[in-house]
Amino acid sequence: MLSRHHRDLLFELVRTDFKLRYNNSALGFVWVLLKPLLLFTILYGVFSFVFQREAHYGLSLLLRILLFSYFSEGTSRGLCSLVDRAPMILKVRFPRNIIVLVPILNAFINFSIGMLVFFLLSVFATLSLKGSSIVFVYCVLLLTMVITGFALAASILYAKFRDTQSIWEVLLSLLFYSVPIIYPITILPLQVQRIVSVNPLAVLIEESTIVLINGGVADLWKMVYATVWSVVILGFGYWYFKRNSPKIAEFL
Amino acid sequence: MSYVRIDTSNVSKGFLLPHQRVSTMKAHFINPFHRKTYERQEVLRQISFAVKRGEWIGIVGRNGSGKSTLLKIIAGIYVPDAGRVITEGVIIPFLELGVGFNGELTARENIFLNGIILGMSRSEVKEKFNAIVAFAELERFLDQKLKNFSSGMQLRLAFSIAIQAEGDIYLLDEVLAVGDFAFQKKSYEQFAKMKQAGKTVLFVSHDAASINALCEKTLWLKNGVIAEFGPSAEVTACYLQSN
Repeated sequence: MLSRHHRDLLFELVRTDFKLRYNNSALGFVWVLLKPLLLFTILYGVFSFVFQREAHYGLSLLLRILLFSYFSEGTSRGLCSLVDRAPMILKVRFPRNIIVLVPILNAFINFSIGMLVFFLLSVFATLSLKGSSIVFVYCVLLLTMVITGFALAASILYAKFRDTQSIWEVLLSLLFYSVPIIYPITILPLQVQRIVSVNPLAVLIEESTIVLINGGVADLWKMVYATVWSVVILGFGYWYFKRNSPKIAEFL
Repeated sequence: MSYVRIDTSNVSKGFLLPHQRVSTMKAHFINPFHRKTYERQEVLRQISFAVKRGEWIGIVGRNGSGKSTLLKIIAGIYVPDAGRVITEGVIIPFLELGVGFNGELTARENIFLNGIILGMSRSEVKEKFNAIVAFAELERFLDQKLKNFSSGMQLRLAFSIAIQAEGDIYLLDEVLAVGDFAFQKKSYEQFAKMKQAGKTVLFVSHDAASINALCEKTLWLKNGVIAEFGPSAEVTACYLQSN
């Protein structure tokens, strides 16, 4: 897909981005781990009394926070990527989509490190992985497609309308509460569950929890539904980006 | 050896400049029917010229005459509204030195970042690393953060990386005013080497003397059209007279 040089460029930008992220901070890249863990601690401290009935509430919560953080970091930093890199775009020619991929790859690295911690903890919680947990990998793939599609389209939109970022910030916090993250989906009335499950993000997070923690089997139709959404979002984002990116230098 | 050619035919480029920039959705929603008034500024009109392999072309013109826009179109950063640019060969745009430089990174890290942005592969930068550092004369400062460099030192480093980028066509936008006298002399020697190697160069400068010394032909842009295109000595003389 990308030529060798463009792969080098992508990796160099990812490396730089990663280095600069926690530059000048005493703990450095420990923050990658610390941030989701602290958020987890807070939410766990507040809500574990309320949701005691869910088995492995702590681990489920951590998993859902990690998935959502991946989504929120990838989309919100992907959205700003073109504008943030304007000086480079205005001086050198290269495939513009590289710029959008950089923060997504970095968000993925952060997510992977978080998952490592998750698996370590799940050993202590004597959680056994079943064969069905391969579905989790597929969920992450779909989630990555959604993030990429969204970031491609939104990065163009942000260059044209600077309100995009503020709107997305608000929508992200709406998503955080409307998607079952701090609460298990089962506490909702059935009708509300159906409405919540219209959102492919909710489906992906829910199915991940089922296969990794409850040891259950993923709902085939829900997976098909999420797959369709992911393909559509990625397809639209790619199309919109391709159509607008040649002229993007003029909006920066 | 790849064949190098730049051919532009009837290239035009204009930018829409809104009288009052509307770039929030609120403005669009509150007043969707309000006609925005735009001013169309034609930056380049009907530019046609050809450059052959190994030619050095000077470009002169006053501020705002479209020199940088022309280079950006040739570099593929802007898309022309009309006409087309045909280029064959690898283009190295030096529209700005030190693209991607980051003050928080060390000189070493910046060499890799900037080199790769300029089109080198990572292994290529590794190969040329010593040459870059030697040319910049910054061996002692390699592991210091770039923000601690003086602006002259930063430019020297940037220039040293840039000249290592292997291409066929170089677009130089006023990059000569770099460093102290001794470094400028070195830079000129480097240009002489590039000339010997048969590189093709488009060279934007306000310095008629260096254009005459380096370029056979010169293009004079005036308000977005070609005022003259011919032997450097004649064109620069006319240009200087007109000011």
